[in-house]
Amino acid sequence: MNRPIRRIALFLMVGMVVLVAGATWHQLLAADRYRDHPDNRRTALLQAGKERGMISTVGGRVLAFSEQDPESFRSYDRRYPAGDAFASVVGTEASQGGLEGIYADELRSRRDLSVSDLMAAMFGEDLRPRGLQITLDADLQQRAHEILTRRRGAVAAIRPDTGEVLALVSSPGIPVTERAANALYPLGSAFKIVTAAAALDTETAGIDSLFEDRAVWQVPGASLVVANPGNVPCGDSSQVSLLTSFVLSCNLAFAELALEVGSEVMDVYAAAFGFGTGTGLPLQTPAPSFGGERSSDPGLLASAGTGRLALSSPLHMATVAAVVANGGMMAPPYLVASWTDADGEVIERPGTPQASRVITPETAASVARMMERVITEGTGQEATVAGHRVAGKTGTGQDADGRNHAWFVGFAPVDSPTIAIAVMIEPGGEFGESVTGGTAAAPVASELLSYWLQRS
Amino acid sequence: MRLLTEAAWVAGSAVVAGLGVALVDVGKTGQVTWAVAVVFLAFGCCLAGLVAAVRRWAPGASSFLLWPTALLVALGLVLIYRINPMEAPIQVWWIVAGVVAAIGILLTLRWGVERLMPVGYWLAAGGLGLIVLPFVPRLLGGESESPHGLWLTVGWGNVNFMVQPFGLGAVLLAVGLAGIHSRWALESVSNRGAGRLVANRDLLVVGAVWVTTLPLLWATGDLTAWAVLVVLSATIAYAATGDSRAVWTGLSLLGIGFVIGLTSSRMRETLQVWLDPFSAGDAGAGLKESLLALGSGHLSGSGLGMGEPELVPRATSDWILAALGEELGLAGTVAVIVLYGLVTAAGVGVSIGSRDLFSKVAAAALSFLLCLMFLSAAGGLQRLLPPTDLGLPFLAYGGIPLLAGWLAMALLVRISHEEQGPL
Repeated sequence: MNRPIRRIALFLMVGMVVLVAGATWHQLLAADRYRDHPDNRRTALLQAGKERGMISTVGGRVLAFSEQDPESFRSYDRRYPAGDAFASVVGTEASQGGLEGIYADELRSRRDLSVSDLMAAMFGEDLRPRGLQITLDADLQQRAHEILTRRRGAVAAIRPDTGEVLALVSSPGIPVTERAANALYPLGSAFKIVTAAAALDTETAGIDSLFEDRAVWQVPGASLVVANPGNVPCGDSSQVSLLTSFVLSCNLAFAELALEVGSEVMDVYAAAFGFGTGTGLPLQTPAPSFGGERSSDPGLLASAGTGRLALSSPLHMATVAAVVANGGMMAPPYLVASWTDADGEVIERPGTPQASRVITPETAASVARMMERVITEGTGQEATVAGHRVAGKTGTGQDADGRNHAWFVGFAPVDSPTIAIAVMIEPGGEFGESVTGGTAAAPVASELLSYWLQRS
Repeated sequence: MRLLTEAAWVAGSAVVAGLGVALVDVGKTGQVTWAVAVVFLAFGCCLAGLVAAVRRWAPGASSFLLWPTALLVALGLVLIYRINPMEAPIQVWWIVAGVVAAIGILLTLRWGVERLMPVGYWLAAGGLGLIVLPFVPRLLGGESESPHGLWLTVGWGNVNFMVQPFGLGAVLLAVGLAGIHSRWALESVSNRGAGRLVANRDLLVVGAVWVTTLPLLWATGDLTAWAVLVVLSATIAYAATGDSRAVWTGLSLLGIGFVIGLTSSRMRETLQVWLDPFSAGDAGAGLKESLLALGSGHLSGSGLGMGEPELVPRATSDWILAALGEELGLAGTVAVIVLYGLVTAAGVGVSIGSRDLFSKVAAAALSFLLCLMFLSAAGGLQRLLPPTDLGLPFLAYGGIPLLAGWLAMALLVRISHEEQGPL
């Protein structure tokens, strides 16, 4: 009499085994499909109310912190007490970009009672969210934000000897997009720093080397004609020095130099200055380019030597200035100073990136001398800071629509630099449509540098 | 030694309930509330009372029946407390009521479980009535207050609550059918020669259950719950007679019923949800949200109190396994499958060890019923079967499923005791 019962029981047990298989399918093999399903509201719920670590500057300014929701336990509100000046760098809870987006995993609380977290807790690990300290100088950032308020543009500042990023400001800040590190703009003559450095470093020319002074130059073997700004010669005599060309931002000398240095060597120097690779900062995605990479076209190379084809970001150009300021050594910029535990004790320093030599100290000194003359008697006179020696180079890059982008790239004080900056001003805002490096970017740099130099 | 074992599982289940409630508290509010003590004490006292009653009236019973059940009830209570704390005290009272009912059954049947055999007709008819009758108004189109499935709204004045008579009816039906078939089998042994005609009566019973429950399928569209009844009646007939025609009859009737059911708009809706829960709108919300909850739970779950099971509609009753899967993960799901497997295996073990035919068939019927109900609810959740809102005995919120489960358990305990032979 038991046989039918045994048979049925066997069938039922097979059913149980099928259930285990089904559960494994739904909860393990196909689980991600459900978890990441667009209809799954958990993803949004989990992101929103979670506790995150504090973001602050090394100097102690709090940029973001989580506050427990008085209404509901486990739910946190994210506060950004430092305001708009930091919005583009910090980002928001929901943003993909900014520090909040980039370090979402590192900042999260691990008090989720998931098995791996519980195991970690048993081994005495601190599950509270970690804090992030960044190198920004809160006051400088704030000041730069104020200076840029009525303008369109971006500013980056770094400490030349260490690479600490001191300021990263984008204006307008709404919609919140980080542009000082994360966008490329036509660079113009500010690239001449690189061409000059390559020529001096390879001893292709000295700062007093003379070039024939013309208004325009037909590049040999190319259909291209290189012209000076305004289609006029640089000076009054028949010859002009590299120094004068640099100080007045004449193009012809640099077109000739690029050809003399040669495509391969130009590539090497551009790459050493970070063109083609970028700064390595997590905020930055696009790589700057100088436009003459691996080019066998002399017209293209000559044009690239003047900076006409270059694209870069303010942060990258600040590091270019920093190389000159730092005796030819590049200290790659970094923003993350340290990770702390929830009590603010430093638990991890990512370590400063390895500095590398780009040009010789002698070359750096020569370029610095030329850059100082730009401020004292050249295109960058508006960047002057009374009582301080400033070095810099202006640039005016044109985009595909012919709209100017004004640049100032420089550092101060010349004898022992504490800051390297790059200012980029777009058309629009206070300066109107026609902006140039000397008239739009240099005054901003002057305001910023005078604030910095007077403070220190 | 035995006292030790009993004390161990009573305390163990109470600890599971109390600890679970504590974890929910910590997960939700960060601190432990007095509910932990209440649940621990209530649970411990209930089970201690049950154990005392079993000692008194069914001392020979296997303890394998009770401890997996106690763990399931504890787990269910914790999940209900987690999802909807308002429902937890009510569930505690229902647990008390269920245990009292179980003790009542032990007390009533202390003269022998075979007394139920002669009233098999009445039990079966009563069970079928409980299952089907409440849905007759809906079938006639007169009542539209019960919007979904097997649930009914019952109310006095302005106090309304939801009941699901299905589980209790099914337990009565199982015992009743066991009584009918075993009585006939015993008769046919005494009147040799009646032969095939006698066995045909058994097939007719399967058919009768099929015919009477068709309105339920029509009114609720719950194909899976209805199939439980047909499969149950066929397996009881097969277990009692050993005639495999009962199985084939049951399967054929399932097929025919399915075709007939296709004319019901409610059943078509159920099938639509089953085939594509993600584009079935509100009707498919339960299944859809449950699947999302399962997947989000992954291997180890979000942790008690840390998931979002509130996103699943009717999460404490129809889809309680989804909350389990989300917060306790695949591990929790498999644990519950194993616990139900143990309950079924223990019940089947009682049946196989019984010498009395009615006890044997009744124990088998009750074990099959518990297992079938679990397979339906879990299979519906996993989309192996069309979704059902059948209340899971022991785990789900609701008095009647819980009561039904405890009744079945009490009967199994009593039969298990008698299997030891007259003391």
